[in-house]
Amino acid sequence: MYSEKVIDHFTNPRNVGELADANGVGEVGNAKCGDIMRIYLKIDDNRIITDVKFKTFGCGAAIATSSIATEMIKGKSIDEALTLTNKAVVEALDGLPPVKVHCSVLAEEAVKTAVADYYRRRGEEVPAAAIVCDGCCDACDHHGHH
Amino acid sequence: MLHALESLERDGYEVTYVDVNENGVIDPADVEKAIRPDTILIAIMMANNEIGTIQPIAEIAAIGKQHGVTTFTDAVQAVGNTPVNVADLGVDMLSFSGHKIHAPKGIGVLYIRTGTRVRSLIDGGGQERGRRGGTENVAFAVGLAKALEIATARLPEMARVKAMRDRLMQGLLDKIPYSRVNGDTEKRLDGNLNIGFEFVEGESLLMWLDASGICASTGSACNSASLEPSHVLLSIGVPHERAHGSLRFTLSHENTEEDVDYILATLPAIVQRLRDMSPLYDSSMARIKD
Repeated sequence: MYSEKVIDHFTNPRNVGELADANGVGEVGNAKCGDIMRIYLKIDDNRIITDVKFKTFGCGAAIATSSIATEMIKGKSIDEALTLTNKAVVEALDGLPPVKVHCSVLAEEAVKTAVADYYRRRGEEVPAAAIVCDGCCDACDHHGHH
Repeated sequence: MLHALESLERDGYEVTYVDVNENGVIDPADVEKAIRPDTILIAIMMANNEIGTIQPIAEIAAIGKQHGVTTFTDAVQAVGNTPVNVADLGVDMLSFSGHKIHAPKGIGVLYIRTGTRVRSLIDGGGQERGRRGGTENVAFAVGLAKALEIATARLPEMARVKAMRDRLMQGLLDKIPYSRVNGDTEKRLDGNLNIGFEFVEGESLLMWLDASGICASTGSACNSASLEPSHVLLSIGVPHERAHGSLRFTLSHENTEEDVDYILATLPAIVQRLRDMSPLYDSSMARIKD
């Protein structure tokens, strides 16, 4: 059911862990729905993501999408990171089963939420591209169930 | 069972659903309370497929008899795993399917106590005393009878299966903190273990188990097309979070003590590996430290 890429990122996830000196942290999802992703970013003065780590509670696809998303944004500018789409995550994994596509949405939102946190910590206005929700929705809305 | 009852509801029958307790067991007194003057049938699963709970069928059938209500039980998970005797149970009807005991797929059994009136399932031929028209599949019937004979002869081995299951259960509870057994530990099929591990998700557990050559199943939503966790686990009050991290192991006479040793040696490290990357685990551990 999963591609070899998904299995690879599930069994050997890249960038697992935490960053003590992260200056942008984003968490999305909730335990009730069965997946939570937390992404830590270390962003330098040139707004380049020099390091990234993640922690994820969830299924094989949730872990694999988190892993590949961290690889896709590492070394990139935060502006580039904000252009990461769930579609690109799915393509990079050579596809996901339809019921697992929401995991890629979660990965995209975890990155955006972490970047938004970076802007907030600096007291800067959060760009529209980094806003994933107004706080009244949760991951369940993407799952299509409550 | 639920789908058959829903079908009756669509035909205009009224169905009362009796709740189970937190171990998944039905209280016969609750069944008695639910009986109305116009109740015609009590239908209950003898053993649950997910948490292995064995229901007090004999007590419930006695209540049915007292109130003149027919009692039916679906014993598909029980036959071959625990003694099933229609005289002891006192039920009016009992069904099971052949494939669960390695009989050919496509044949099952419906026991009907003498004196219980049942409308013909398929009209036409006079086969099976007019209750199910159509030429009998003799080869399948012979196969099922033989499978039943073999399964019944093996029932004494279930004591060994139960001992293995109990060792697996205790071993996992001892080795893995924040784990809990779902369902009743006594009124349970000998080979069934359903156990939940906090802070991790079932499908990722299954993927690691599968890679290690261990076959189990999960109540997690992430392993189903519906994305809904097991309704059985939710109905016994298991929170969504824990239902997601639940595994079911089914042991049989084909399993060995070495299999139990292997699971006990393999699963704790898998759970820990996934907990180490779980944001739920680190926040909970941080709270405990505080």
